[in-house]
Amino acid sequence: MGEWSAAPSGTSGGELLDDVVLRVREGDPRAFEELMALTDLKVLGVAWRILGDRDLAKDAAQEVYLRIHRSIGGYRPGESFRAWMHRITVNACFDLARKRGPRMASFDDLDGLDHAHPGAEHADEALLMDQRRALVRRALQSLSPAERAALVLRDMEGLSTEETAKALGVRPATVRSQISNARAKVQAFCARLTRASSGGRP
Amino acid sequence: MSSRHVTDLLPLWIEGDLDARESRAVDAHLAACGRCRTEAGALRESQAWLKSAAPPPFSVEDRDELRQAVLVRIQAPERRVPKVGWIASLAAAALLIVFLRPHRATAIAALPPAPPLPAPRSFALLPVVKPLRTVRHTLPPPLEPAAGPGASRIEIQTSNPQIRIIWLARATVQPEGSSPHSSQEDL
Repeated sequence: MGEWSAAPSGTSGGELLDDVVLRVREGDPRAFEELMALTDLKVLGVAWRILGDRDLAKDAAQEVYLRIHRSIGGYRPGESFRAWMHRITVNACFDLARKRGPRMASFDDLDGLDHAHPGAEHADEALLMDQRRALVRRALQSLSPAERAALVLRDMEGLSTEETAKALGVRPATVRSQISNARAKVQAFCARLTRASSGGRP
Repeated sequence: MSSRHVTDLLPLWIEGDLDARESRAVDAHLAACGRCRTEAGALRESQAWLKSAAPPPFSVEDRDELRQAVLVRIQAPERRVPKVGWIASLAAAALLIVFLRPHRATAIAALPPAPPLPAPRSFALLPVVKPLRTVRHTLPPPLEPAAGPGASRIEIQTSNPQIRIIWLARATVQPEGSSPHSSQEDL
């Protein structure tokens, strides 16, 4: 899914990140740019999945890196950096959403996705994939912010239940309950919509 | 367990989040219950969809924009500090000029060098620096040559460019008994 999933901690990818984080803590000015290059796609991606809006996600990501820069001294080497970073990301997203009012951001317009694959060869397949992706995004939107954040981190970003709990600042048992509810709701949402659309179409 | 439906456990079972005992119980139930197998199949599918969700739509340009914005905001306070420091040191330099100029002027005025403070008795015998006159110009003053040996000229430019204070002084030997202040009447 991303560079971290491909290189879990312990491999050279994880060590590279640990080394960069160490250098950021020591005040190496080049290291912060390297940290961003290694992690920005993750931060943007998580923020986008939680907020459902490209521009909001970019604002959130900016805030995430300012907070990381401010509080990198509070990160203890040895604990999971990605859990620490995801916690900052989730909090920045929730703060941003709260500032925007009770309504979470309106999810990006999904109708344009049908035209994302102009190649005629696999048009049906691509259309099906686009519809599924649109469905998943709408299903995510139907979740509570806490359930959505838990599901995004645990099932889409591949964090462990313990890491997800750390990132959300809750107990692992709470994460289990949240992801259990979220998975069931996503399944029910998808089932209802696929049944409705297959029934409604000739 | 195997006789009751396991709908509530399936969302955790599907991703291996149950402990071994619960997981075995669900396996056993599924082997015997078609309805729960269908549920499990639907969950497996929606989880697969979740994992093949659209990748985040961020381009190289988005990442560049983010990096620039963050670096600018991170470096902004650091950049401002030296700027403030520079302004502060300029102000300090200006203050130094204000305070140093009169000191230097005093030093010049003390030419010829004054000996250490003498005993009051011999004071009048020693060269005394006394102001000749203070000229206030609204225009740059004409050059006035130093009036003979022992004369000093001190110019102080005020903050008003039109006003410059010029202090002309000459060391003279005072007649015995006269006070330095009374000599001003000679001017």
